[in-house]
Amino acid sequence: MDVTVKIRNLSVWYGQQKALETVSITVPKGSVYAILGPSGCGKSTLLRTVNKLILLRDGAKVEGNVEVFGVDVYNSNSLSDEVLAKVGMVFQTPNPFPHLSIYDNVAIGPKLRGQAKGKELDKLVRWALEKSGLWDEVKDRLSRPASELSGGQQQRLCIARALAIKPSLLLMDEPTANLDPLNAAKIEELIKELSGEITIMLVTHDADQARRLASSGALLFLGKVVCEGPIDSIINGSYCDLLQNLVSEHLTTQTSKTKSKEIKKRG
Amino acid sequence: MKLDPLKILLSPAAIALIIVSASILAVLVYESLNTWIQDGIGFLLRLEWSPSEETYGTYGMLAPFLGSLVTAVIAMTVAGALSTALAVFVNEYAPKRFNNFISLALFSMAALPTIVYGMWGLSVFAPAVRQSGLASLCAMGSPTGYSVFTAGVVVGLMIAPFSAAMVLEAYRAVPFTYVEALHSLGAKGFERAGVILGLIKGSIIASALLSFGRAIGETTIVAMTVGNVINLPLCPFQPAHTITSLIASQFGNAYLYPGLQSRLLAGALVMVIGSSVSTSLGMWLARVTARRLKGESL
Repeated sequence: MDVTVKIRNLSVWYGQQKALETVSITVPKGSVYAILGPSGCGKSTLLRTVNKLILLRDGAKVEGNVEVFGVDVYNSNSLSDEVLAKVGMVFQTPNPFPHLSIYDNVAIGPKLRGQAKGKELDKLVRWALEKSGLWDEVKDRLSRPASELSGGQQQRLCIARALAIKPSLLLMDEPTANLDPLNAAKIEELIKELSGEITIMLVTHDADQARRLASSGALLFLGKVVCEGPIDSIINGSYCDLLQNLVSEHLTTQTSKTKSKEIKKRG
Repeated sequence: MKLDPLKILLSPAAIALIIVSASILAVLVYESLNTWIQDGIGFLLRLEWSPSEETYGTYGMLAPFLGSLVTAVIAMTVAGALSTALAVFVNEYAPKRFNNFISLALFSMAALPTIVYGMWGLSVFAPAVRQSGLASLCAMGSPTGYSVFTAGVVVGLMIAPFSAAMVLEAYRAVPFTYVEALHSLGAKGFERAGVILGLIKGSIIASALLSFGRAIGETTIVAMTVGNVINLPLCPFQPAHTITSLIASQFGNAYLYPGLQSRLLAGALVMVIGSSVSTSLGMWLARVTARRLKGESL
């Protein structure tokens, strides 16, 4: 099995607080890999360790190994930039740069990396917008500001922005969480299409979405991996039951009152 | 309506502020009424300056009016360039612990009395300008180093801490998700700063407008370093007057010259209006920009 991302014994702290504890996962190449779990369990943190975005947070400390395309990104700085240039990211809230045009939002990645210019860049922008299913909707107003687009369109623009750097790995942090069902369905369709070509790591708290899209994944709870494997082995039966079991197990071992209150709310 | 003791205590302060600013405006208007009735804004467009103690002299203020504008534009540019550079440096390059040091330096600079800047301009910057030989670029360059340029730069330095605080705050307030997006696209340092400065363009313009409003009314520094000559400021390295420096140097004896006092007060009124318009525009733009950046990032 070809492996895109291999994480071993990864722990992450924000200051004194431990956000991830000895996490180990293996993401196979050319598939959709789901990272599941309740809110606040460290899904987004885990995703952000792959492209080192985690280091932007104040006081973040990373320990362990994160291998992307066979390169340990925290221990080989010269190679890691090269490898991370192949990693794109889509965020939970659509975040196109509001002051840039639709065209410039897509072109910014290749421009910054000096990958293309002129006619070639035009072609690349068109390709990315077609790929994200936005081309027909925006082809006549490429120079308009991105802020004029609707929420769903903005998210597809962000996908186009990430695709324009021709990534081999796409990180998606709950990309449909802030969209209506119709737009969410469009994005899911897009993920299905892309999944044959590139590897996608998808953070979601929606078990049905994970089942629809992913072939394998991991379930996180309180910063730890509870189980990892084919998606059906993780979500057998109701996801809700699964979480409830997790919570009750946790409650019997947990003594801190404040913590358990927090989790009851989540359950 | 119930009487709230706190309200009774606080309202006089608010009312006093309004009364004082209204009375300043009223006095300026009343004392300069003659000028407006006789001349309208004609005195602002006239170049001729020929004082007389016997009859009404001609007091055209075109030169000092332009002097004020040019000085304020230079000051605004200096303050804007410095604060933008500082914001990029602090956020993209400087180590985190450097932040405290920067804040301390800005606070102390902001607390300095303007006379200190004036003295520095007089004893350090003006001689430096003189020795630099820049004056030779102008047909009527200043042989002393006192010039529109000198005054503009020193006023710019005086304003820089305020404008820097504003640009720094705007830079820091950029929603984190944009920073993350830029990072995920491989943008670092200078490239990231380029996009972020584009995002906070509105705040930078707003701080420039506030700087302009501040600079156009600045008196002490300007009177000490501008050269105090009635001169069209066609070239930045020649001495000139601004309306404020003109008032500072002439108002004491103005009662000897029929009509001068009214002209100077009319000039002051123009500065007050210019300064408040620029300041209000700046504050409005700052608010709009901040709100839009927050709204659009959701």
